[in-house]
Amino acid sequence: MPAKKHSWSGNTDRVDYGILLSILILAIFSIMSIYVATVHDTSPTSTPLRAVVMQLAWYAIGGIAVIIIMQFDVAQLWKIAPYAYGLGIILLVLVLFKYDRQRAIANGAKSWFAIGSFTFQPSEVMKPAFIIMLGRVVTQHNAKLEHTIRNDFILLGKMLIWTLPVLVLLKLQNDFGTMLVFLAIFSGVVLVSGISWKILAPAIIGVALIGGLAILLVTTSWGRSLLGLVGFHAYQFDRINNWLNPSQDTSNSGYQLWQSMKAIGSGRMTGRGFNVSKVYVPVRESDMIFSVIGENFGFIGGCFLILVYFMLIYQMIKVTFDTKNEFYAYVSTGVIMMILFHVFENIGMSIGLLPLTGIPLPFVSQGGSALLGNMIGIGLIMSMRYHYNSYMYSRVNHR
Amino acid sequence: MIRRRQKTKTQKSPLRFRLNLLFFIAFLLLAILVAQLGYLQIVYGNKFESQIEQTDKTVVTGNVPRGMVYDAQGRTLVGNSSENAITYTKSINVKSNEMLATAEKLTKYLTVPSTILQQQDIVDYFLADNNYYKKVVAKLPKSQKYDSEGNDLSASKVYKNVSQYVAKHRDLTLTTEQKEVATLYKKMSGAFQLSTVYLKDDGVTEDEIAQVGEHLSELPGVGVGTNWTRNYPSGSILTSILGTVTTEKQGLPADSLTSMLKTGYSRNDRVGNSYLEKEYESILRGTKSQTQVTVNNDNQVLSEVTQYAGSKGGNLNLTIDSKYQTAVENALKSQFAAAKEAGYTGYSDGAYAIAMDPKTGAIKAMAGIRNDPETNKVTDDALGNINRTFVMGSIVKPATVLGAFMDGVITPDDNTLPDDAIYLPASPIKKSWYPAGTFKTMTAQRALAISSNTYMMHLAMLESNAKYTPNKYIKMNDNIFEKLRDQYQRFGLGYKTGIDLPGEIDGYLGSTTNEYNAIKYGSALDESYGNYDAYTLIQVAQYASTVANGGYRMQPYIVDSIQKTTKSGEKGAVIYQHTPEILNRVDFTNAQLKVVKQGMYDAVNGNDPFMTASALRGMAQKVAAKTGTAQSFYYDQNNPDNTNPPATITHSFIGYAPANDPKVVVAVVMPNFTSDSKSTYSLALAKTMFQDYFKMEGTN
Repeated sequence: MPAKKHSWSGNTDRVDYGILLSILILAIFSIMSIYVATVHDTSPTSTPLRAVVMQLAWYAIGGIAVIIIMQFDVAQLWKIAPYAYGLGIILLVLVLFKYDRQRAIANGAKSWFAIGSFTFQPSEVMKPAFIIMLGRVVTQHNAKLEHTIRNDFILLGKMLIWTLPVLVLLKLQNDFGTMLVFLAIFSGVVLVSGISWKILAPAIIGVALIGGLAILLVTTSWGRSLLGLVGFHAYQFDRINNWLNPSQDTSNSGYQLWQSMKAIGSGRMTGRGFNVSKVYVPVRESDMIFSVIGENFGFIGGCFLILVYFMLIYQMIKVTFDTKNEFYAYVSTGVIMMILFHVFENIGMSIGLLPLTGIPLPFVSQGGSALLGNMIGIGLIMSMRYHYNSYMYSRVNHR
Repeated sequence: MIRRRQKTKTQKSPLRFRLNLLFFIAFLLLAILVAQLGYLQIVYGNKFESQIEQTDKTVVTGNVPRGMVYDAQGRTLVGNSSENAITYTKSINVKSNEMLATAEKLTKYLTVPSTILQQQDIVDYFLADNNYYKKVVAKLPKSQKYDSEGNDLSASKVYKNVSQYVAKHRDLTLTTEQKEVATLYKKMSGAFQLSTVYLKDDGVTEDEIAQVGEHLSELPGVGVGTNWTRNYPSGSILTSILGTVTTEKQGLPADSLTSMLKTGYSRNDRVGNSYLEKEYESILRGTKSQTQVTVNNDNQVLSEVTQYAGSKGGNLNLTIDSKYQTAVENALKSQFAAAKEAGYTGYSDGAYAIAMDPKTGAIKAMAGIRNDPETNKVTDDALGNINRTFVMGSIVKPATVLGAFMDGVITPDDNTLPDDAIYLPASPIKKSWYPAGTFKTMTAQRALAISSNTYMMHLAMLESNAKYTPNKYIKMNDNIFEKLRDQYQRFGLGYKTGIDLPGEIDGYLGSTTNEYNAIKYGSALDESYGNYDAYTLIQVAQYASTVANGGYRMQPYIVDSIQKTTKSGEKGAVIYQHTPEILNRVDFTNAQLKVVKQGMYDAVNGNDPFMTASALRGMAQKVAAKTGTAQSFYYDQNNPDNTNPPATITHSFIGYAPANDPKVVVAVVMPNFTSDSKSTYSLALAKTMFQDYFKMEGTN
C-alpha cells in the first residue's frame, strides 16, 4: 500500500513537519515570554540572557531526545517500555531521599533532584515512560482478550496496578499537580482502551457526582461546617476561597492569582505589546508564563497560542489515524492527554478558571525537565510517522 | 471465563470513535479556555486596565540644613557641617527579601561601619530570607501557627514565634560580611514608608559615592545625598543655653510626637529638644523639600517631580558676644575654683552671673556652673540663671527703700529712722551685720551704702503699722507680706521675667503663716532685707536693670534678630528684630531714685569704713552696687533630720556702670558658701565682668 498524504503541511516525508512547525511556534512564544518575564523581575541568580540561553539549551537537548526517540520503531518501543517504566520508578523512589531541600522548603514538593545549580524533576520524564507502558499493557490485554464486562474490569485492574505505584510515589513527593497529570493520562487511555460504556458511563457519572458534591461542600458554608465536623481545617479552604474570589484576599497565594488575572485582563484584545509589563506576577517565568502572553499579546495572542496547541493535538490524532496501530493509538492518547491537561490546567488557573496548582505550560514555561518530558512525548509521536512506511510493510513483525 | 479475542474489522471502529471523542474533548476544553479568556480580556479588559493604570501620588519630603546661631558680632556659635551620605528611601510595600537583596548588593560597594546588633536584629536578618522563613514556619508546631479553631494566627504572632524559634535553635554569630548586610538591613527595615534614612553618613569616601552612584539602578531606594551635623566653632560656651538636636534615631520627642507629626514632621526628623534649639525650632528647621512621587497600582515608582527645593532654616543672631561670654565664664570658673581652693564651697550649689543691658534687656553674658556638694563635681549650667532660685539677701534693699518711698512711709527729705536691733520673743536678735548699737539713727542712703538690716525692718514695721515692744510683743497688719511682695514684684523679683528661653521658673515664695495659721511677723521682717523669698538670678538682673534705668522693667532677651538664609546659603533678609519691651513702669520719682542710687554709689565709692562693695572702687567707669549675704543651712539629702545642720552663706551682688548713665548691669550669686566665707569672690567676679565689658566696648 503506498503512503498517503499524512501531514498538515501536505508533506509526504517521514518527518512530520506539521508537528515541528507547532513546536517551533511554541518555542518562539517560550523564548519571548521568558525574556519578558526575566527582564522585569530582578532575580539575584538569573539574567534575561542566561534564562533565554538556558531555555534554548534545553530545547536543543529536547531536540536531540526527539531524534533519538524517533529511531525507535514500534517493536523497540514495545520492548523498552518496561525498562523505561522501571527506571522511572527507581528515580521516583530515589528522589524521595535525595530531593532538593531548598525547593522543598519553597513549595513543599519533594520532587526535585539538585546537582549544583542544575535541577531535575524525574516525574516529568516518568510521564512518557508511563504512557508507553500503559499502552503496552492495554494492547497486550486487548490482543488476548475480548471486551466483555469481566475482561474490561480485568483490564482496568491491570492498568491500575501500573498506575497506583506512580500515584503513591507522587503523593509521597507531595506533588499534587503532577498526580493529576498521571490521572488524566490514565483516564484518557481508559477511555480509548475500548472498555465498555457499561463500565465507563456509571464511572463518569459517579466521578461527576462526587466532583459536584465536593464542589458543593467546599463552596457553601453548610458544606464547610459539615467538612469541619470530619476534621478539615478552615485554612484548607484558602485556595478555594482565592479561586472563588480572586480579588478578595490578595495577600498570599491569592495575590499571585489576582496579579495574573489583572495582567491577562489588562492585555485586552491586542495586548500591550512585546516586553511591556505593568503588573508583577510571581513566578511568571514558569507556572505563570501565560500571564506574560496574555498581557503582551492580548486575546488574539492567547487564542493563537491555544490554536497552536489545538493544531498540535490535531496532528497527533491524525498520525494515530494514519498509522492505524493500536499501541500507537494508546501512546498518542497518553501524550495528547498529558499535553492537553497541562495546557488546560495551566491556562485555566492563570485566568481564574481552575484552582492554582504547580503545573507548567508545555513547551513555553521555563524549566528543563518538563520540556524534556514533553519533547520525549513529541519524539514518540514523530517516531510513528517516521517508521510508518517500514511498519506498513512489516506489520506482522510485531505481535 | 476469558474469551480469546478475534481480530475483526469491527473491532477498529470503537477505537476510531473514541479517538474522535478524545479529540472532541480536547476541542471542548480549549474552547472553554478561549471563552474564559475572552470574558477576562474583552468583557472585563478595560476594568482591569483602568485598575492598573490607577496611580497614587504621594509627597515625599527631604531634609534641609538647620539654621545657624550667631553671636552679637556675627561669629558662628552653632553651625552645620555637611557630610556625604548614602540614603535609603523606603518604597511602599517593599518586601523584606527585596531589602535584603539591596543590602547585600550595597555591601559590595560600601564599607559599613560596625554597629551593635541586638539578638532580634540578627534574627530579623536571617528571616529576611523568605525561603528560610518558610522553612522555619514549617518546623513550628501547629499550635504556634493556628489557633484552636484552625484559623491562621496573625502574621505578627507567627513572626514572633518564628523569631523565638530561630533565637533558640540557630547559631547567631555572623561573619563580618553578614554583619554588614545585617546592619544595613536593620536600618532599611526600620525606616518608615516613603521616608529617608541614612545608611551611612560618616566617613563616606568619594570612591564609595562613585561606586554606589554607578549602581543606583540596581539598588532600589538607595540614593546619594548629604547629611549635616551640628558643630560649635566657638567652643563649648553657652552649651546649656544653646540646647541640642535629636539624632535621627531619636527622632521626634515622644511627648510631642503627635502634634509634631501633624505639623509636617517625619518620625525620624532631627529636631531641637532643648533650650534655644527647641524654643526656635520653627525658625531653625527650615522648610523641607517636597517631591511628588507617583506610584502605580503595583507600587512601582513612575515619576519623581521636585515641587519645592526646600529652604534652609533661619538663623538666630544672639545678643551675647561670644568673647565676652567666654571671659565671664572663665572668670566665674576661676573665682569659684579659688573659693573651692580656700575651702568655702563644701556645701555650695555653684555660681551664677549675668550681664545685661539695662536699657534694652539684652543679655550680654550669662554664665553658670553647678556644683554638686555630694561629689564636688562642677558642670556647665548657664540655665541655672533662669531655673534655680536662691534666697538672695540684701540686694533687695533698694527695692524695699523705693517701695517705702512710693508708699509714702518715708520721703527723700525725711527718712531718718532709729537703727535699733529688733528683739522678738523666743527668737534670735534681728540686727545688721555690724554690731548692734553702732549707729543710733540711719538714713535711707546710708542704710543702702552700709547695708542696714534694721533700717529695712523699721521700714516694714512702718508700712504695716506695727505695734512692737522689744522681747515682748509684735503685731503688724496682716497684709505685710502682700505689701512687700507687691513692691518686689514690680521690679521683677519673684516672677518670670519673660526671657526668650524655655524652662524659666517663678521665684520661690515662702509660707506667710505658721502652723497655727498666724502671720509669720518675724519672717516678714526677714523678707524686708531679702532673707525669706528666693529668686532666680535673671529676676535679680531684671530688678537691678529696673533700678538702673529709672523704673522700666525690661523683658530680658537673648535672640536679637532672625535672618533668613539665601539660596546660596548666606544670611538673608531680617525677618525678626527684637524691639526692647517694657513690661511695666515702676513709678517712683526721680528724687526718690536719686536717694537710692546715691546709696548704691556710696556702697562702692563712699568713704565710710562700713562700705560693703569698696572692692569695686577706683575703676574708670564708676560702679554703683548693692551686695547681699543670706544666711541659710545646708540641707543634706542623706541626713534630712539633722537638727544641727551646717550654716551657710549666699553671696550675691547687683551693680551697674557707669553709675551716672548705666550701660551694663551685673548680677552675681554664689549660693551656700560656708559660713566663714567672705564676699571676696562674688565681688572679684563682678569687678572682672565690669572691666571686661568696658574693655569689649572699648570705653575703659
